Parts: sequence; C-alpha cells; structure tokens
Amino acid sequence: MTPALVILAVIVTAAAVVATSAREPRLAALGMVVTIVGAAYVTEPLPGIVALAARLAGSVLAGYLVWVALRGAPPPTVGWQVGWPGAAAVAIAAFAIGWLASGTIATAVAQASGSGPSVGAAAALEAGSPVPRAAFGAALALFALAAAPVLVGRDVLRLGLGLLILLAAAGLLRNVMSVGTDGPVELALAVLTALIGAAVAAVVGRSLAVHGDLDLRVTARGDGAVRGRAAEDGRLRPWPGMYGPYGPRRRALPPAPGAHRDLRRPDRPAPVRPEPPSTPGGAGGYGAGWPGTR
Amino acid sequence: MELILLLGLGAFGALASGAGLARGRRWGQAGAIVGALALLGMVAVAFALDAPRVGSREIPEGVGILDGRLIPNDYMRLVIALWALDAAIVTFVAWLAGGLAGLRGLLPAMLASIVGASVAFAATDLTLGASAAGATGLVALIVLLAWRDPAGIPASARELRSTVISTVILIAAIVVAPLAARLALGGTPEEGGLVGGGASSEAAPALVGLLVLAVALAVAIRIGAIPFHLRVPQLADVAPPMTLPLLLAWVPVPMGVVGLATVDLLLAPLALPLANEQLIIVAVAIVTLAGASLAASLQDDLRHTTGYLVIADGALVLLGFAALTPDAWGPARTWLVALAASKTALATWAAVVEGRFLTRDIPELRGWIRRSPMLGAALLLTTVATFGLPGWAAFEARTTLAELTAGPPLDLILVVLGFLTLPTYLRLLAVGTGSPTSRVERAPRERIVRRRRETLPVEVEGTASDGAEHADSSAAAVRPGRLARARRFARRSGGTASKGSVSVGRRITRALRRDATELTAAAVLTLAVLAALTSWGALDIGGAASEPAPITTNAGSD
Repeated sequence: MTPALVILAVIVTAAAVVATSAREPRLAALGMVVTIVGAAYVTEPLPGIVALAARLAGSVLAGYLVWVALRGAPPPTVGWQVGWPGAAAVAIAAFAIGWLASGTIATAVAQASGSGPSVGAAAALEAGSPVPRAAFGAALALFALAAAPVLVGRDVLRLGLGLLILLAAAGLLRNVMSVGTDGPVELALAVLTALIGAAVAAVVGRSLAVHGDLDLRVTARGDGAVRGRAAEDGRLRPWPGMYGPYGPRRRALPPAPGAHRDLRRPDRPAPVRPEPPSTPGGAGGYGAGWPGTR
Repeated sequence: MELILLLGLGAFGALASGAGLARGRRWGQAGAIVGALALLGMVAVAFALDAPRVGSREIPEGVGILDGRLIPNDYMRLVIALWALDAAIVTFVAWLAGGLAGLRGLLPAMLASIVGASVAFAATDLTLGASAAGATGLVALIVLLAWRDPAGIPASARELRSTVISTVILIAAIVVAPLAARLALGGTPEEGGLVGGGASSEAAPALVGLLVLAVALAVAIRIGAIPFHLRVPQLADVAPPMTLPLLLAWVPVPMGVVGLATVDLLLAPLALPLANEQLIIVAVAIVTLAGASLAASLQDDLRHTTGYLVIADGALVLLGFAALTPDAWGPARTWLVALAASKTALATWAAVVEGRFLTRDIPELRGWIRRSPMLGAALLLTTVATFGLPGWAAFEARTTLAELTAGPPLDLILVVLGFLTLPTYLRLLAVGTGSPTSRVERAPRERIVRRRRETLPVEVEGTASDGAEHADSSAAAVRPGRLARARRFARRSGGTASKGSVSVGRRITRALRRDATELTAAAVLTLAVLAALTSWGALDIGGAASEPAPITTNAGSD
C-alpha cells in the first residue's frame, strides 16, 4: 500500500503542474480534479470509509461544478508564463525540499519525545514511513505551484484552481501531521471543498457570461469619492434598487442648470422616402414629376 | 436538538429565499416571507437554546450533535441571537429601501452566514471551526454575484481569494501547532541526544512564533488590517450598501473567534518567550489603528469612511493575539461582538443616509441631522456604543486588551490609539448640524409629529375593492364622483375572503412603504440601541465571552 500512496503523491503533484500550466481550461480543470481527489488519500493510516467517501464526494462535486462552468469551449487562457517545464521544475524542487525537510522534522520530533512510542502529532512521520514524507513533499509542491496564480493571477480560472490546490495542500499537511481522521471533521473539509468549488464555478460562469472570457478585469475605480463616483456613473449597474433610491441613476449628480448648455446642432432629419403622387395635376401631383426632382 | 433546529431553519431559509428571490414575482415574495420567518425563528431558537457549560478537555455523553463535535455554548447563543436580530432589522430596512430586489442576495447570505457562524462557534474541533469560518466568508459571493454586474466579478475574486487564503493559513497553523507543542514540551535540553533536545528546544519557539504570526495573519487578512486593507473600500464601492453590515461587520467574526481559540488553546499555554512576534503584531495593530483612523477622517466618501472605521476597530482584535495569554480570550471575544454590533449600526446608518440624500459625498451631506433627527440620534448612540463608557463591557475589553498586550506606557498609547476614530464620528455629527445643502433640502423630512395626510385618488380605488367602508373612511378629500365610482366597484367585486386577505397584506405593505422614511430611521435607531446594549454588556455578554472554549478534540489533547 505504501508505494502506491507515494506514487499517488507524485501523481497529485504532476496533476497540479498540469492545472497551473495548461492553457486549455478544461485540461487545467482536469488536473485540478485529480489533485484535490488524490490529495485526500495520501495519508497513513487511511481514514474510515465514511471519511474517505465524504472527501471523495466533496472533491468530485467541486471539480464537477468547475467542469460544468467551463462548458461551451471557453477560449484558451494565457496560462503560467513559465510553461509546463518551469512549473514542473518548481514542483520537483519543492517536492524534494519537502521530502528532505520531513526527515529532519521526524528526527527532531523523535528526539524531543525520547524513546517512547510514537503517538500524537506526526506519529507516522516519526515512525519513518515514506507516505508522510511524500505527502509533505506534495504539500510543499502544491503550495509553491498555487502561489503564483493565487497572488498574481490575472484570470478567474487560474485563481480559482490555485485556491482549490491551496486547500488540497492544507489537507496534505493535515495528513502529514496525522491530526486525526475524524468523520465530522472530514465531512466539514469536504463541504468546504465543495463550497469553494461552487464559488469558483460561480465566478468562472459569471465571467464567461458577462465578458465571454476568463480574464480578471480590474475595474478602474479610484480610492477617492469623486473618482469612484465618476467611474460608477459611466454605466448602469443592475443592482437591487437600481430604479430605487440606491441606484446609480439617483446617486449621480444632477446636471447644474446652465453650466453646460447643449450647443450641439440638432441632427438633420432623416430623408423621407418619397411616395408617388396619388392624384394628377397640381403641385406635387401626378404628371408633375417626382417630388424633389424639379 | 435545538441546535439542529437552528441549523435546519437557517439552511432551509437560505435555500428557499435564494431560490425564490432569484426567480422573482410571486416566488420572490414567497421566498422573502420564508426567509424572514426563518430569520425570526432563528432569533427565537437562539434565545431558547440550552447551552450547557461544558468547559474544556472533556465532552460529556449525549451533549451536542455529531458525536459532540458541535456543542452550543452561551457565547454562541448570544452572538447568534444578536446576529439574527440585526439581520432581521437590516433585511427590513433593505426591503423598505429597495423592495424585493433589495433582498436578492442579502437575505440568503444573511441566513447562510448565520448557519456557518453557528457551526464555527459551536465546534469542538479547531479544524471544523476553521472550515465553518471559511465557509462563512464565502457568503460574500452570494451578494456580489446576485446580479449580472461586471464589477461584481473582480470583487468576488478578491473576496474568494482573501477567504480561502485566510482559511488555509488558519487550518495549516492548526495542524502544525501540535507538532510545535510537542517540540516545545519534549525538547528540554536534559533529554537531548546528539542533536538533541537542544536543537528542538531552539526550534520550538521559532515554530510557535511563526504559528502565532500565521494565525494573526489569517485574521488580519479577514478583517482587512493594513496592509490588506485595499479590499475593503473596493468592496464598499461594489457591494450594495445595505449588504455592508453583513460583509464588513459580521462575516469576519467567526474567523476571529476560531483564531483566538487556536492561540488560546494551542499556543498561549506553552508560555514561550515570543517578544519579537508580539512586537510585530502590535506594530501591525498600531499602524492599522492610526492609518485607518486617519484615512477615515480624510475620506469624503461615506462608504469608504465606514470601511476604514471598521478596519480601525478591527485592529483591536489583533491585540488579543499579541497578548499571547489565555486571559485575552474573554476581552477579545467581547470586543468582537461589540465591534460587529456597533459597525452594523454604523453601516446601516450610512446606507440609509446615502439612500435618503442620494449622495455618499460627506460635504454634500451638510445639515443632514436637521432633516433626520432620528438618524442623528442613531449615529450618536452608535458612537457611544463604539467606544463605550467606563464600566461598560466594550470599554473594559479595550483597556484590558491594551494592558494585557503591553506594560505602561505602551498600554496607554494603545488605548489612546483606539480612540483615534472619534474625530471621524464627530465630523459626521458636525457635518449634520450645518446649514443644509440643496441636496439635503430636497430629501424627505422625518415626520416626528404625524400630520393628517391627504389621500390620493389612486389609493382610494385600490382600497375600495376591500369594502365600501374603507372607501368611506379614507375618501374625505376625494371628489364625490370618484367616491361613488369606488363604491360601485366595491359592490361589484363582492369582497371575497381570499381577496380580502390578500389586500390586508397589501394594505400593510402600502402603509409601511408610505412611512418608509420614519421606519428606516427607527430601524437604524433600534440597531444603535442594540449596539449600545451589547457594548454595555447586557445579557452578560462579557461573562459568556470569558467562559472556556468548548473546543476539546484538537490534536494537542490527543
């Protein structure tokens, strides 16, 4: 079982590399799904069936919601500028650091607790199992990979995937420390994962519906009152009470009378299509030619 | 059992109101009614909740739900009751101001946040509490994405980012804390081997210090302390003003409580010398107190001023982390609830003022008290509630936190810095007493003395269908021809029971809307009174805040 869990930790890290570097949104989402589903199982000993089922359900639901939000083939995103080789290099370095650092931590914990049996925090790590080491390496790799899209991400999908990967990294850290596999706590983490997935899906879906792409547009609103108000008055926002007292129409300053008189010339009237005369003779009548041709 | 009822009521109300208000029309009305009833039901259940005083380190059999993972306590009971009561009043004001459209997003977010906070306050496991606190932060998206607004997308992204980052940091600190405790407790030099206890004992304070900083960082991000403050004015710009009491005042509270519990249970009892870490947190608190107070006083935008006032008062929560002693647990939690109550009153006051005078520019609000004396009284009471008076729970919490954090004379400086927001409140009050601007003059006046009101013909025709007697009573000022026509219409319609019941609701609605100006001011005044009572320490909020955390099943106790 142990080698399989170590391989799973590597797969989780590789999937996170895909999630952060792929330009195709659905491929990136697939990487995220593999990451958050697999991260729950890189632990030793494995939690009970209820806890496993809860984490699986929460992760799958989160991934499914993001997947559904990306329906309709959204355009490719910029992705991470370093590309997949750069992301892989970051992940490998962080994984190696985590693997080596966990050995040091295990030694320190063992020396701190003396020669007694390993119980409590980081018990599996202290016992020398490679699974918590792999989990710690994967956790550090996930933290490193998620940092860029979360802190400087410029599209909502990358940001959302980074946040979900960050949550998976926290779960991996929890697995390393063996803080217990409590059913209700696992359920709470599963619900939190699903809710964050739903939130990411909502933001992604709204961005696709409003802008047609996934770019994170920062509105040019100033910090000051006057600048902020000017930016708001430029467009109408369908807020609650848009037609009520809180709407921007009401909030906008009324024009000062006479301050800016409208001096523009009125538009020329649109040419009317001439109609054929219905009666003969007379000015504009039948036989006198088409109107306007004299 | 009552806890299940509380959570079920909130969840059902949130789902029903969210779905109904999203569909609109009759579904929207039904959703709003269900949501409002759920909110009132939560107030009643919270007050009736049986809260055993569990204490720490043991879970009695048969107490709470989920195998004792959720146990109601006095603090949770009082805070949830106050939160639900505030939410009901804010919802009422939002309905008066914007109708059903004003409740879209707000009402489900209120209910969902109360459910999340209930779980966070009742959790006996820190990870469970942190997860619930994080989920509570996500309700901002319900508000921001309720309408198809392009500006809501970056705001939602910012809220999502800050919520998840703070939650992840808190969970990471919680899971690493037992390891640090183990290093600190077991790593004495006498036990050491080759690298030995000496190395681990040197590493332990550093690790514990990092964890204290991490927990404080999570809460600082959530409350918007400097340098994480830019999110708050941007949020205030984008969010509907009536949602700001929830988003600014209440949503950070669960994260603050769980963060305080983490420090109180896992880190502070280690009693390690962490002077540098304390200094860093105090420095952040001082910068936030001074900077946010200054920004609030310089701002001309009412929403930004409100946001910075919330940030400045939120900085006092950081002193609860800097104190690094279990004694700070009670005052910090007392201050959190006093902060939420007073800032709810302030943000609602700001929203109502903006709606009534149709501006958020403070200089343009000159003379507002002359048009709205009840709103003036509400702001005055809110100011008193914010700072408290000697002997009040909020005032004692301020001074106790400062004394626990630092010795003289720094504690006095911290207390004085806490009062730096007072000039902003005084400025708002002073602006209100000046000669009114034309914008303020145009605003509807609060009719303290009720005058006889002339009935409009359209109202007579509307009410005449319920029975001729209503037409008789209200048509004194209407022409006889219209009165006769209304009577004929009433006779023709017959006035069945169902129509009568519908029109009673409509009559109430119409009457409420007609007096919306006075009712909104009265509601804000009520919120201010609640804030003052909380600040005073009504219902022994200070005692409830000081009772030990029921969080027992952390790994440190394994």
